[in-house]
Amino acid sequence: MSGNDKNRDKGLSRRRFLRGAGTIAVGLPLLDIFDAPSRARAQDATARRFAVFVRQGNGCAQAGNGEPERFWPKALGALTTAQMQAETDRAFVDLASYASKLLLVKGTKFAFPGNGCGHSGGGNQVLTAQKVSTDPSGAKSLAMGESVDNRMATAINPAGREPLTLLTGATEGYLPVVLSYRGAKMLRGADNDPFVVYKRMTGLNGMDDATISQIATRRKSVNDLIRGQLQTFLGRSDLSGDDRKRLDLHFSSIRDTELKMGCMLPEMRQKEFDGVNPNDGKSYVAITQMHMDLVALSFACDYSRVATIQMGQGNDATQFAIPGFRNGETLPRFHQISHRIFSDGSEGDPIEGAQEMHHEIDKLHARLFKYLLDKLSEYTTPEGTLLDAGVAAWTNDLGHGVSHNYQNIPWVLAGSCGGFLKQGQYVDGGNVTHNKLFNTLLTAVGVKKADGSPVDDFGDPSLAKGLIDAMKA
Amino acid sequence: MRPNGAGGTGSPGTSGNSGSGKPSGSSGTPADPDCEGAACGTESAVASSAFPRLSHRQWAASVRDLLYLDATPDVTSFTSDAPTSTSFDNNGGELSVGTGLATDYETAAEKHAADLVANAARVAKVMPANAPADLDTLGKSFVTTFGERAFRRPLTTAESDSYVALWKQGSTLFPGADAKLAGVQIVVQAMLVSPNFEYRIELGKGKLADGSIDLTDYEIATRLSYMLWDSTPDAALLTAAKAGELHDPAKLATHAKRLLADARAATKVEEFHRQLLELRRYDGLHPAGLPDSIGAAMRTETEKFVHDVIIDQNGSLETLLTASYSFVNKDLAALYGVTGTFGTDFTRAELDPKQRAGLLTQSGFLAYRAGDTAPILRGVFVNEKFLCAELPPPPVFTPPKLTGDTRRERVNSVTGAGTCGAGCHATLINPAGYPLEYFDDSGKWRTQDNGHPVDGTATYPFRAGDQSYDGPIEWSQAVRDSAEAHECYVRHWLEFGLGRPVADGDAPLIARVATASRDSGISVKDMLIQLVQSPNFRSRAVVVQP
Repeated sequence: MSGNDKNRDKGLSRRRFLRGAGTIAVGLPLLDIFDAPSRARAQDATARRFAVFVRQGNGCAQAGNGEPERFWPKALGALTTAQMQAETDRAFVDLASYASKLLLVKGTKFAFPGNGCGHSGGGNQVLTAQKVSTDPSGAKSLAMGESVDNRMATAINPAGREPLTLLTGATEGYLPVVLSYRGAKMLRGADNDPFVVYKRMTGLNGMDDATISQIATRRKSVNDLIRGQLQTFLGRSDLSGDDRKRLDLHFSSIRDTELKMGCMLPEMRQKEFDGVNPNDGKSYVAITQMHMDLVALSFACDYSRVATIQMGQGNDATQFAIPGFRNGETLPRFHQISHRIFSDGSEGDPIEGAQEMHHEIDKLHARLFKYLLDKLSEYTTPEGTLLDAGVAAWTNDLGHGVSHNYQNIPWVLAGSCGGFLKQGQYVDGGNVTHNKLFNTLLTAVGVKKADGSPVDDFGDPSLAKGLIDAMKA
Repeated sequence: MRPNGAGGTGSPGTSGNSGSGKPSGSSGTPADPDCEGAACGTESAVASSAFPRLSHRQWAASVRDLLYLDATPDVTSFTSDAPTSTSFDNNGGELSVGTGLATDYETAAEKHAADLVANAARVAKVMPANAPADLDTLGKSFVTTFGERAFRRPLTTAESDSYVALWKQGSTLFPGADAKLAGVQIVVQAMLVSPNFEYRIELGKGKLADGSIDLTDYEIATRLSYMLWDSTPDAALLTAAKAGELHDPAKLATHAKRLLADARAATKVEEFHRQLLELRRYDGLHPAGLPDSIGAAMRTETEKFVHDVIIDQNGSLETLLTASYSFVNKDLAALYGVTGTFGTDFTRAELDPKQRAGLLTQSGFLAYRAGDTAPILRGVFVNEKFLCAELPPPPVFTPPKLTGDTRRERVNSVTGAGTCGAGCHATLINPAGYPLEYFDDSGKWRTQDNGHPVDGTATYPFRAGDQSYDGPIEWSQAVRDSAEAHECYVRHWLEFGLGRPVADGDAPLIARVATASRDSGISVKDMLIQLVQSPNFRSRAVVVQP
């Protein structure tokens, strides 16, 4: 009996039901029931793992340029709720309740210089650990290799589905999308409208299994034809390298059995999704939270096990209004705050109290991260909560706000990937390039090299190999 | 540092080009004794992908026209494309199909095929004339006629056979359905997800003397309809392609005129400006003291304005840059200080010609670029989008102190002559922003800034020489008079029209059409007609890659 038949034996009605917090009951979808055995993946036998990367822009309010430390905790070592609550001048007060599940990692850096635009170069590297392209350069520069979410999705996602790629902010403008790469110079688009993503994820909801089976049979017939056509094109000797790469991607992206997710959000929440304008900076918090709902739903319902949320554009110019801070007044553009001046360039009037504002913006993002952790804690899997079974990372594509440098990049992790990662600790990576952090996370979610050994070589091949031992439990 | 352009010794900037291809082919020879600079040359073939993918909007419009839908399908749920190296969403050689989009295509194709067969009137339209009664013969006939429309060329025998085979499976694949409708449904579903539909494939019919690819007439028909309609060729274009007429520039011009008279061309013109000017971003605007709906109103204003000038008035770039009228609702009328009775609808209104002159003085453009750095934001946008000047990214940060009472003084104190910001700011950016200092953060006219008279004087280093002006009207006029603005506008149209970055080989064409726009004031429609008559419209160079 083939693996395919085994799955079929378990029956079309084999839907695992998970209970989320409150009243959310979700049905797990049919997994690859019509899938060719050749696409079976090594990870099928192991526990499901998840990873989500949320990225804030413009660096954080950590020490530097004569400014005091306002981000990292005061001491390395164990994190406790009491201590985090007491450190009111640091960024983690509102994450204190998760102290026992956090892993803060200082001492990692990007290996490569940018190429004319610090934001672009940071965005290029933050999830790739790859060089920044020389052509194109400046704000158009691209990463020279795939991002970690892509690598994870290729290995652990159902039916090779692409990672969920979400954006808070407009898709037009200066550096709108920066995070996820399919390969060298192959930037993946990001979706900024949570309702659109939700509708796509739940597209075939409500269909009975017989209907779904017929759809899959027709798709197989149609797609056999399409594969043949693409193969004919790929067989041409006059194809350019770029065309070949794109047609190859298309060929490998064809799905006979993409049967969408079998679970939904509560109706009230759906209506909220339907009501937001993704281009409106005022909705930054609301949309980011909706993206986080989608990530949790995606993990719970096995749509994608890997996700990124890019919060804000490349040089995030959102004007935040933070309840309880300066009477909730609208602050200057975040990018200008990060530079401490009323300018997006190098010169401008000082913004009084800019580091305090930046610190408050960091805290706002800490609260957003907490929202994500809450959502991931609401769903329980056989391996524990989604949070315990996976890892959530809050990072930044720059280190320090004012200088916009690539040193000491913030990495705030939560969740242990089933006990692989250390918990309740603030550790020092030892001023290493951050490819080692990715090697650690890839190993944590169960990705292995072709020979079955742990991944120790993600990112640019010139980088030192290995994992960060201080992160391992 | 000089603005970049097609004239002089230069070529149109290729900074937007990802460097994925190198143009091949020979340089041009002088064509017109009265020409100047690059306009004297002849364009050479430009390298581009043989498989440019349809943009989402093009996919939707093509499905609409192919299946005789009344409305363009909503494809907002399609997986977003990453930004590419051009300012536009249709840079097909950089658009790809990943698992997300492959599934979107699949789901949408299923839906549209199912909707079609549920509608007898539309089924009748897609069926071949004099449809044979015999099911198998009908299948072959349907595959031939519908296939030619879907793939924008006749099917090969092998292709036809494979789809006829699928047609014959219809009853099995749709148990219980009418055999004819089942055949239609599965063939339509299959053709909509075919790469032959999803890509504007340009394999050509052979090589020209310079080594470039000579496009087939069907490929030229496809270029033309996507250039002017963002949609699939109609029957008349396919007939002309079949007759081998489309290598003739005169015939191409005739078809272009015909296409430009269609509503689909108006949609294309609006979308061009929506993307070029980033109009969708206005929706998120919240200028102080104005209603939340003002951003959307500002977008609508510019959309209606460009439609009126280009489509209704057959106007030119000059009109876009100098017209003193616009389209306003109640809120915008108040902002512009227009008297009269206005409601929620938009009506044409004459604005104060001493204050307003076309796109550079419209409220959305101004209000979107507000605050202490407004002169810089506005100046950068004018440089990049209207003059195609290449600006390097800002230098590494060193905190300075701004001094001065007015916005101009403060910006000038750190970016003016003698400061470290002088290179770009004082030369190119500030002179493009300072004349707009007569507009406040919401785009309203003002004569005072912080109790001081507004200073709107500046000098911009155009290629033809330094040009001085005072205020927005003179500035718009200076832009209108420059070669740079016309080259930039043509260049962007070429990018959006052909769905590829421009390259060196395009320079003579850009310069020639820009000269006609600047010196003879040809309309935007005529500009497009000239572009499609270029030899570059009928060929493409091979992409050379290491």
